[in-house]
Formats: sequence, C-alpha cells, structure tokens
Amino acid sequence: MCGICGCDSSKLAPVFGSVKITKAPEKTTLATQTIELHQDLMRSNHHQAEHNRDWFSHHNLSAINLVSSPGAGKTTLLEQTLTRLRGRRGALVIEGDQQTELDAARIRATGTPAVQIQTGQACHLDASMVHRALHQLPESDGALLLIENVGNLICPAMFDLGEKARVVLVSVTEGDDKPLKYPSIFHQAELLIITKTDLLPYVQFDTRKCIEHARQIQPDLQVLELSATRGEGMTAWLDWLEGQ
Amino acid sequence: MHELSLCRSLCTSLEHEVQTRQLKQVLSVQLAVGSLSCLEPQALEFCFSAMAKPSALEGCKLTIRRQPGNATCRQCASCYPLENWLDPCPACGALERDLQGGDEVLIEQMEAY
Ligand SMILES: [Zn+2]
Repeated sequence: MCGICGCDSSKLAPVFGSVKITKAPEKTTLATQTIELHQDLMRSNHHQAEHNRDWFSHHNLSAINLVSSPGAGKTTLLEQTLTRLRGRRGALVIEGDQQTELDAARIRATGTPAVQIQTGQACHLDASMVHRALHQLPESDGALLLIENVGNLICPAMFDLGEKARVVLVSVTEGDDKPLKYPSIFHQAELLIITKTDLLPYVQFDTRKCIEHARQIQPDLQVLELSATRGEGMTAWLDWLEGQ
Repeated sequence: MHELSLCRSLCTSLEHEVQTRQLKQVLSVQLAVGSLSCLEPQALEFCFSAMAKPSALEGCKLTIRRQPGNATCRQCASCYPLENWLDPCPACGALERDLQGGDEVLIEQMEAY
C-alpha cells in the first residue's frame, strides 16, 4: 500500500515516469509555445532562509536546527541542555510540531522563552515559519537559538531555515541503519548525536556501525553519544554548543 | 509530505507565468528533480493532480526528469555523476566525496498557449 493515498502502489507507474491528470484540454487554434523557465522551486524558501541568516547575524544568534524521527529524545535533550545552560548563556527555543503546545510548555518550564509552531499539514518547518516565530520571541542578543524541527527524517531535509548548524539525533532504540535509509538529512548535518545510550545494554544497536554508515554519507560528520536523562555525555554537547 | 509544500510553490509559479504572459492553458510542465533530493516523484504527481482545480493548469501533463548530482572523489579527485548516495567512486571505489547539486528541483520549461 502506498502511504500517501492508500492505493496499491504496485499498480502505479514507475518512479520518475510522467502522469497526465484530469481531462485533456480542448483543441485550440492558438499557437502552442514552449517557455523555458529554469526556476528553482525552492527559491522562496532560500530567499527567506537568507533573510533569517541576516537576522541571526545582526542579533548575534547561533541558530541550531535539531532533526530526528519522532521519539528520538529531542525535547528531553533540550530540557536538560537548557537547565544546564542557565547562567552560562541565554537561550531561545522554537518548537515545531504538527499539533499541540505540549513541547513548548515543557521548554518554558525550564525558564526559557519558547514559541510553538503548529505546522498543521506540513511535517517540517520552513524558513518563513521560523521567521514568524522570531517576531514572537524576546530580543536576546548573543543567545543560542535552538530549533526543534518536526519529528521526521525526510521532509525537514529540503528546507534550509537559515541555521548555522544542523544536528541530527538517532536514539539507540532505532535501527543503526537509519543513516542509510534517510541519507539526505545526514548529508547536511554537522553533528550526529546518538541518544539514550543508557539503554544500550537492552537493545540491539551497534553504535560503531551507525557512525560508519553516517560517515559514508557525510565524511565530515562529528559525533557525540549521550544520555540526557542520566547526564552522561552532556558536557561534550554543551562544549560543542559553546563553540557555536 | 513536503511534496505538498513544493506543489504549492509549483502551482504558484505556474499561475504567475500564466498571468504575466496572459496564457489560456498550460499543456505540460517539465521538472528536473535531483536524484539525491528526498522527493518522491509519485507523491509529487499525486499532489499536483489533486491541486489542479479548474484553471489554466487543469489537464497539465507533469514530466519529471531525474538529474544526478556531480561528485568529486576525495581519494582520487575524479568527477562522476552520482545517482545514489551509496554508489562508490567508479575509478577507485571510495565513498568519500564532495557534492555539487543533486538535490535541486527546477521548473525547466512549460508548454502553453
Ligand atoms: Zn575515486
């Protein structure tokens, strides 16, 4: 079954074929012309992302885009990070979810200003959503801006938010082949964080293999391993953030 | 379903062309989609057909041309087109590479009257 429309995907045209939709246009006497366009479909997002980048540099904000599949532990990592950052560096958070304010409420409980973006149909944040959220956050020059993207390893890959660095999280409760299955998002990441390492004794997860797979996609990828709930590896993560 | 967002941009761009060029009907549109983009052509086609309301875009044929990325091998410096993320360098077999392109989505051309 096709996950998009519920049809039997085996009966569909091959990938990268072409499709003719609805009824054919009626015959006409007007001359048909071929118009060369060469337009980048992502250009409005690129444009907005550049605008965000200008905003970040003007306010000396370091924007970090956190991406992972649902349940990899982004919000828990953020809570623990913000608690430890208190007194060291100002922080702001943008939360992306399809529905609810739940995550932003968890973040605000740490004393950090947070804006929740409810993306509705979209399963990713785009640059204009981030731009609108920026207007709702207090001015806080020199702060870290942590952007928790919608839990999804596919869709956020195509959308530049204007961030300084993209961080991808894989928890040990997932497969160590995640990088091979979702290469695009790993290709654009600066840092891979392997989370929930306290669960390693109970799961089948080969950390070495996961890192190897990820570096086949992105040879320059940095890697950190941590358990946000136990606190192991958090210092290295805070040091990495300090360098941003 | 980022294909939905992209289709919305696609329709907006095409509608803009229709207006500024005073076209009556778009017959076909050709996209070049990087083979390393995370776009599912079938999802794109499905979204496009669902969005084509009675308008100059109704009945428009969507053609998707697959376009590989350009890779430069970090081991032997040879350049080669990259179709899939895990294809090794054809000259030396290494996987480490630098990439130019492969994730772009371009509206190449349209046929209209
Ligand atoms: Zn080579």
